[in-house]
Amino acid sequence: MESSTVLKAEKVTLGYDGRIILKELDFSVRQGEIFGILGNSGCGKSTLLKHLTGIYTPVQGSISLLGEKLDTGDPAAYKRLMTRIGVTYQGGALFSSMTVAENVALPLELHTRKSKKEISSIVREKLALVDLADFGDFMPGELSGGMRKRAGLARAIALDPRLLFFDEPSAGLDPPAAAGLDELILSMREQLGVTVVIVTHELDSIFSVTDRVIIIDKAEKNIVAEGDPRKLKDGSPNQFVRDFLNRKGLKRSFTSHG
Amino acid sequence: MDEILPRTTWIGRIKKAAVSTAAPFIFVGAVAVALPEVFRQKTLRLKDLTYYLDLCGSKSLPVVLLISLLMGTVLGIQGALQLRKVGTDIFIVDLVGFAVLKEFGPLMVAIIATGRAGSAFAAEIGTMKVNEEVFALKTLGISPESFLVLPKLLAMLIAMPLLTVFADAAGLLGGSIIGVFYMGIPLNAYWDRTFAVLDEITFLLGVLKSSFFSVLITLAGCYCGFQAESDAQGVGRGATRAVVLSLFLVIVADAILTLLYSLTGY
Repeated sequence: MESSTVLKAEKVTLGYDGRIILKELDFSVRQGEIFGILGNSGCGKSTLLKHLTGIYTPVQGSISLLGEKLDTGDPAAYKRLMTRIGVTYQGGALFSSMTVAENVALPLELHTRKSKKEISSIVREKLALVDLADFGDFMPGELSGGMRKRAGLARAIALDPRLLFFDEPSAGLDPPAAAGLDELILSMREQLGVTVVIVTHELDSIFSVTDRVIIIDKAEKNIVAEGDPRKLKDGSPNQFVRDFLNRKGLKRSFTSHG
Repeated sequence: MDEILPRTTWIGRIKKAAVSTAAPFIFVGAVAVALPEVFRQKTLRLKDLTYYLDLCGSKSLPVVLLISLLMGTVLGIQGALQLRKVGTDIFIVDLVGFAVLKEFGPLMVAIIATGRAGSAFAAEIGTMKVNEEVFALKTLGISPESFLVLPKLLAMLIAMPLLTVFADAAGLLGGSIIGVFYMGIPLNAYWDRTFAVLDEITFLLGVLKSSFFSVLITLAGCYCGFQAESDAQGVGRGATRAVVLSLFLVIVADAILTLLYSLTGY
């Protein structure tokens, strides 16, 4: 693996229950970039994210994060690796029995030897980063959808990860909230120097935050384009890619793909 | 290469059956492996433990007392009807005492714990699965078995034997109400015989049974939660499965333990 590569997927085939979802995916993510995984609904983007974060194991192929193979079969190695990455989920995935501050503090309490005072200080700092400084004592159920996502982000960055995954960060948010979250992602990279992988189908987010993307076609079960989305929009030789990035081709998406 | 292992082939079906057969054992193994993490990774939070102690213990106490009292009276009445025929009224004390301490005390507690805690565990973990909280635990480098199962297991291991002590007392009281007021046995005579025929071993064997039941109910509830499909109906089905599986396991364990006790002279 090149020194600047933080994620590498080699001939990765995903599937469950006997069915192939995506086959023989090859791609890599470089240090410091914001990388998008795009595709139409149901193409397997979120499933791919779960494989990239080690929740599921690929049927074939291998995935490396930060220079380490994911599927070593050693749970201790996996846990160590997970302390160096952060993952945010569509709904925030906050633990509902804990306050927002307790959620953010949890990885620090479990994976570091920091004192309560230090942890409390880091929690305040992370919550301030996501503009939730005054909401530490709130329960997740008391927050709006966008706030839950931001609180999930604060928890994901608690251990200062080098690689950050977002699953549909703008899904379900109104346009200003989605734009705010996009700005937050950009500021994460600037302030923390973190590499970001985003799974999304929101075109506004794609063009405003990603440096490079892969586009997955459900019909092909594979990557059909890779590169700068702004160049692919009109310059891709693949009709599906151009249609996808120009908000066209819905009929094909619903008929031949569904 | 659209299908790796089609579900329709017999190999596919055998593999699927093998995976689902092995799943409960893999789960129990994962919990056993996670046990030391409670101490190493500090995953046991006092707040969680007290919550589950309240759910499984103090909140269950009133219903445990009431049901055990009634069970003691039912046992007393049924025993009285039969023992009167042969003029051995006083043996109602033995019947109620042994039945309550060795069987009905632990069983009543197990049934209530299944309804209250077992189903709640399954629903809680099932909902966490729907909300991707279980995935979040994994990607935070936290073992879900350690974080979600062990606090529940510890709370149940503390609460159920304690509840059994209360259930035993209530059951004996129920039996004595029938013995004294229905059969006319003097109160002192009833309780003197109770303490004469029942020993500490009988009491402890019942409490030990309750400890076994607490492990089975917790593991069944949590397992059904982890196996629940990730939708609202799936969570409901998971909770139902938890109740059915827990009751089945408790009855089977009760039969085995009773047989073992009798083989060893108890």
